[in-house]
Amino acid sequence: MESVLFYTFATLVVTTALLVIFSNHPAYSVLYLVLTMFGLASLYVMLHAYFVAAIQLMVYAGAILVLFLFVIMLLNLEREGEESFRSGPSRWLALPLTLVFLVELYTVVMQIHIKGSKGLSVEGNTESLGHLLFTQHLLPFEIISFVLLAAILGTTILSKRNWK
Amino acid sequence: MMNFISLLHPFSLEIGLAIIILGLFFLDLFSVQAKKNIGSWAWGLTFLLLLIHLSNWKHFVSALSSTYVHDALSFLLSVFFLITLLFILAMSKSYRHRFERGHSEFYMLILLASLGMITLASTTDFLLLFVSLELITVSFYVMNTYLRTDPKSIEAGLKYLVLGALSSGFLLYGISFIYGLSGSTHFSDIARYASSPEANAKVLLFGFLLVMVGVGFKMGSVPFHFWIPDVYEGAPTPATAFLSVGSKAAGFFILIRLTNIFFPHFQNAWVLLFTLLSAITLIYGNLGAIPQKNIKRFLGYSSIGHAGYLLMGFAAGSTQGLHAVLYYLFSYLFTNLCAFWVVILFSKATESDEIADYAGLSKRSPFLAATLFIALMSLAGVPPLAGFFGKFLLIRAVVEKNLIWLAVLGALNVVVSLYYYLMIVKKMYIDEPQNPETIPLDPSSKIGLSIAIAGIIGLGIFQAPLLQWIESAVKSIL
Amino acid sequence: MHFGILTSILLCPVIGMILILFTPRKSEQAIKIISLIVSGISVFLSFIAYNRFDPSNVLLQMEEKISWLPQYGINYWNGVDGLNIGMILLTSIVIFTGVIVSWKLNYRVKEFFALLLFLVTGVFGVFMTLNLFFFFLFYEVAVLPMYLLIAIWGSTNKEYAALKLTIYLLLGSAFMFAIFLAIYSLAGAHTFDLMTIKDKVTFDPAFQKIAYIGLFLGCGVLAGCWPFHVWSPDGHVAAPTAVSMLHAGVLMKLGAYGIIRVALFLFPQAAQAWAPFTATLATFNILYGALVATQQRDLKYVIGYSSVSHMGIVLLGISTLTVTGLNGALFQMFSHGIMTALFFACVGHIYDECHTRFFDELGGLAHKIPILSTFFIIAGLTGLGLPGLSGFPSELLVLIAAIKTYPISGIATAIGVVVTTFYVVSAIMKAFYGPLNKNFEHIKDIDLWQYFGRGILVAFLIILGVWPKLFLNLVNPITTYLLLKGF
Repeated sequence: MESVLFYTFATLVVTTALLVIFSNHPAYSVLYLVLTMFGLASLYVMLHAYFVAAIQLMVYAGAILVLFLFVIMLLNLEREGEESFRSGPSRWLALPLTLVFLVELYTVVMQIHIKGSKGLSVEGNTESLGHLLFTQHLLPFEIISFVLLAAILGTTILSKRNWK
Repeated sequence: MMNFISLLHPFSLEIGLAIIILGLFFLDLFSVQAKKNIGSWAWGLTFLLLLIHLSNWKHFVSALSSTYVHDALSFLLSVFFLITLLFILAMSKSYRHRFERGHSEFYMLILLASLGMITLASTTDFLLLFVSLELITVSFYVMNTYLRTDPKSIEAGLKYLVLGALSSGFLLYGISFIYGLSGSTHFSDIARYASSPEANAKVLLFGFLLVMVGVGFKMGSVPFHFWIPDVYEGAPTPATAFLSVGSKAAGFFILIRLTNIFFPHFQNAWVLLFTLLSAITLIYGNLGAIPQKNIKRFLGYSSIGHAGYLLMGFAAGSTQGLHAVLYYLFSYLFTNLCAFWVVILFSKATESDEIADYAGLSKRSPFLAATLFIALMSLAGVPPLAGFFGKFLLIRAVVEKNLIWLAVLGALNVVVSLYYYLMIVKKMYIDEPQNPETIPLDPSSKIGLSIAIAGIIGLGIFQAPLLQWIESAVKSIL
Repeated sequence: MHFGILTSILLCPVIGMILILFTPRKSEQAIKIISLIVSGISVFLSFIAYNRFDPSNVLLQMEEKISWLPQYGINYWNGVDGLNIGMILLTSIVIFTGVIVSWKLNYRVKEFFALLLFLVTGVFGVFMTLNLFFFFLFYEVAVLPMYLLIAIWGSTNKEYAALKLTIYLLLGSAFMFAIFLAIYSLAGAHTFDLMTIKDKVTFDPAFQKIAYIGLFLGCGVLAGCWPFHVWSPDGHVAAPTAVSMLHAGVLMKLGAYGIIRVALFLFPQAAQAWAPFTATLATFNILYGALVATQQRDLKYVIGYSSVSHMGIVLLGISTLTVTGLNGALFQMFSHGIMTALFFACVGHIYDECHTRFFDELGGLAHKIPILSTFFIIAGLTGLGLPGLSGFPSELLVLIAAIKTYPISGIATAIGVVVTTFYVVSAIMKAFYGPLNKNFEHIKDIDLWQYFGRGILVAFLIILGVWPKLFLNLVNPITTYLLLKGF
């Protein structure tokens, strides 16, 4: 049962992720991305990571992608021109290299025998996550706030018009 | 004195830098007067921080379940980054005229990136490593795009963004493999797993290779170098300089920490990987630099070549190799920043980065020409300058491991690189200037450049102090 | 013996360079006087060292040892023996006269003298150091300023010549450095101290063979060894006078000195094995250089190719591996150094006055500038080995040694000497005798100051010519000792 569910959601994630790239209209891309996020959230649920799943849905699907949609609609973006994807002759290398990578990945993945993670207790998931974040992983957590600061600073500077 | 030291928090450096960043934000908001001099404020405070940090010497601790350590190595690396930071802040001042607005925010971004570098210097955990790298990368996304009206800068920012995100993705993917196997992101746990009998070396190697994609992007080694020429050309020059020293060094520092975990377990693959990477990177960088017409692109290619040299130290995979890498990075710090500072000062006066415009520089400004000359010679590895001793250590480390052909390749590339560096020297010293006006220089840049030159010559002649320091630092992680 | 005389010699040009860097660009006269004083002091100190030197003692003398990076086997270790005391003396004399000859220079004076003194630092360093790391370091210091010196102040195709010279010499030195590192780590020496290596390390015969020929060719590039000599005539021609003097006079000797000091010193057995090959190369040098010189019209090219030919005699002397041959080679290094310096000093003046060096366009100069012509002719006669001048004993020694060991090379050398006589005499005839070109009615001879500078060189040529023992006494004990100990 679990593997059936897993493969269903995994297929969903991969196909929609491909569709994000291959659809011509940006709005469609965003909608497919929502589906990808949804699939990912389902996978988290299967890993008993309920909190992360909820955050995934709320933050990405709920907030960020909706924002994307607004921007796309406000800017009235049309179909992207085909020519904007032209690149140099090195693109012909992309396919063989990807194939090599996939073969490598396949052989490696076939070798993994994970004995199943100890995991966290299902009940205390959120709590223990919070606990870890504020004890063992306090520093990364704090650094992330600086990443956000840099990102905010960047968006302000790069997007603001007529500013001294 | 002892009391003072024991009063300091073990994280005084990180906290101090964070306070400086946030403090400058407030200063920027509330004081118009300070806003104008925010660069000087940033410089002065950072310098103070460096002094405090130096007085904290030998005060080694580890914290947060030892995912964060202050050892001799991290002390050395944080001093490296602080010196870089001071240079970059100082040279940004000379570049101020190019920013029509928001110059104070540029300093903040530099400081933010440095914060990432400094936490990176002490981390022994993949999680913190990734987050610190992201802090560096995000700050650089913005810095590279800072000249918003210049299409080249936008191109630089976009390229860096796309490729940076891709490489971060690979890095994370690799980390997840390693985590999946060992059940920990902590370096010492991973090392313990790797030496245990049930370790799956093949998958671990795969994970490491994926991590190398992310690290290789930072180091600018072939085949992750595609962004370098365009980004180096388009980005504001202080950002380019910072990329070429700070960000590149960050990549190598990660690799130094990783050497300990991975090298003992797959030596053959490791040596093969790094010899090949090093050889290809050397050749690509050095041949690519020859036809360049823009000095920033040119230095970009030359920085690829230097990545190739640095990788030789890892190909050797010995403590001597690590000593050599660290020494080389210190010499590279002074040398490359010196070269970029000259580029900034030159473009300030002439608004050009074209090599053709450097014609007759020795007549327009003998000081700038002499400085650039010394910097280029040190980059090429000419004795008695710092670059020579770094190359000497690297080649020696490789020869000790019987990789003679790599050593010969390295030595031949010195000749090739000297050829193209001499082309610029020829422009500066032999060709006649089209515009014979002298180039004015402010005293502070003159002092800064003199310090850089003193560093180049000092590290070239009196190698012992730094080398001893490096040796004790490397010993601390073994 | 706490006064480190060798380091003091080495520091003279360094101090001069630093003083010059802090002298204002405008005060050219001050810069020249500083250069003259520091090079004068170095001559003085070299003579003191020469005086103190005890030729009968084959061990190192006046040693100075400072441990630099002991864990890497790098020590600042200087010392002199019969092999290098003469070379140090030669260097100081040539730079002193070189400064005098450059007295009239007026283009970017500050940079010129600073670079010149920097270069000389390197030359002194190579000659006195006994540590391979410092050997390489000083070697590069001696080679690299060449690029700027030729490319800025040179003439005739200067940029091409400068680049060619730099690249050739660097390739040679890269080769040399690779061998040094191989000695250091592959052969397990783990030190760069030459004397320690000699005493402690026994080399594998196969390694010896490769290392010897590698060093011979690597250093040979700088010594102008055929077929790697091609940079040298172009470089000599393009370089400004003082630089040509230093270059042909001293720098090429660095290569030959490196062969003796490092290659021959460490690998005597391999030297024996390779001797026929190196002797053949040297023979090519002698004949090729001499034959090409006959075809030149430019005075500087004639001297440039004659240098190739004369360096061949040095290399042949080394290849014979006999006491006579080695003595001859060392003597030739000294005498050729002084002689070419004089040659270039004279040609430099001719070019300054007539703005040409083609001897078809010159002619009859002996009547207009008799003193300079005399000097030039003395140099020429030394070159062709006239008895009474220093070229004669040196070439004779090599010839005697060569005829015994490699008769064919010996005969070829004799032919080379004959060809040399031919081109030297014909050059002198065309340039200094015959009808005077009308354009050169108003040229001036050298003044007293320049007369003094060149006079020093002439004095050496004559003194050593009539009293060769003065020099041979210096080198004979050490060469005898080395060759006896080696085999």
